[in-house]
Amino acid sequence: MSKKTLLVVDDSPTALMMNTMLLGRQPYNIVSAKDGQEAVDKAIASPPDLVVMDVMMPRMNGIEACRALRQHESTRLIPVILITTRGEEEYVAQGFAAGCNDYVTKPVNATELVAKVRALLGE
Amino acid sequence: MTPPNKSSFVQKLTASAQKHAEELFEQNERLKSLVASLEEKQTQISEELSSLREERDALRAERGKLKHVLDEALAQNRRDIERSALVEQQCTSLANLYVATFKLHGSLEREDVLAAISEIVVNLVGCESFGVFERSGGALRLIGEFPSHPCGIKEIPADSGFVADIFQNNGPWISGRDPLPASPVPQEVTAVIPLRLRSELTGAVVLFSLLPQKGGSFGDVDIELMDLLTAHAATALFASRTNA
Repeated sequence: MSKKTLLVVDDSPTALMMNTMLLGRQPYNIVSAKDGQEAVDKAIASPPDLVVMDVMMPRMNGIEACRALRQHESTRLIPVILITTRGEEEYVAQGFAAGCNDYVTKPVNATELVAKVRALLGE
Repeated sequence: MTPPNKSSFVQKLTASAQKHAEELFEQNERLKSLVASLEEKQTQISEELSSLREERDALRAERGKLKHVLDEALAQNRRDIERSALVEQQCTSLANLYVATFKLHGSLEREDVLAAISEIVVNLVGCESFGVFERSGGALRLIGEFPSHPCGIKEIPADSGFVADIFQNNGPWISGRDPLPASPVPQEVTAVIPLRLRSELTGAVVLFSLLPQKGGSFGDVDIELMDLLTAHAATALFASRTNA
């Protein structure tokens, strides 16, 4: 069975490296992007199985990128997990309104993130 | 009509009684046979029952053994899950430390080093407001803040004051966990990470507020990251200044 592909998106090189390392320990192919626009472009060009994306990013933030993914035929069903700096209801509600499937808060808890990824991938 | 003969009547009665007695005798024989057969069946059932009881007792004993094995397996499974969670946590801590070290020493450009410190404090420690201070003469001067720190401290004395006290105690210092230093600490300060190069205080990262989901406390990995910043952020800042 071929490995599933995760698109990990963060403008912070430190956070991107950390999340890539955490998810890279699992049997997934990891593709990365450094902002929402790059993530949308990469997802349309080659749809991943799941997207893990930071909210606060330059050019196109995670909420806008999530909305863009939901509007495109080839990416509208891809599960999206948003990484939010703040976990209050209003911030989380914005993410769900944009079409995200789940969220984790910073600093990312590896066990929680991996569990959510697995659940959304039906593993 | 001829009156019934007495002798004939007695004969009939005797014959009827004899017939009835024979029938009773036959019935008695049948019942005896039935009783014998039932007794035989009862003996057989008793034997079967006894055998089933033995089997039941053996199965009960077997079930007890299996339950014990199952309990042991479940306990082992729980221990494995706990160990696995611990290993996972240690891997995450190591990954955190690796990424932090890699990023701190990944560039000699001052902006990159400051960005690395900020990203570590925000993304790995989970702090939403802090300032980075570097020693310049007798003071620690603010060289970076995120997003802007609430008490507006731009300069801290390097040889006296709360940072100097914390440095003497081999910081980091965490409010609520560690005893207060001799000098007063501004109320907004949540933690202080003194930056140490060789045995000198070269700067400090002062944390003000944590992200709400941190619940106002630091975990083991946060302390490890702070320890790492104490040594490596100082080295990285020094190297970037030398390179400038």
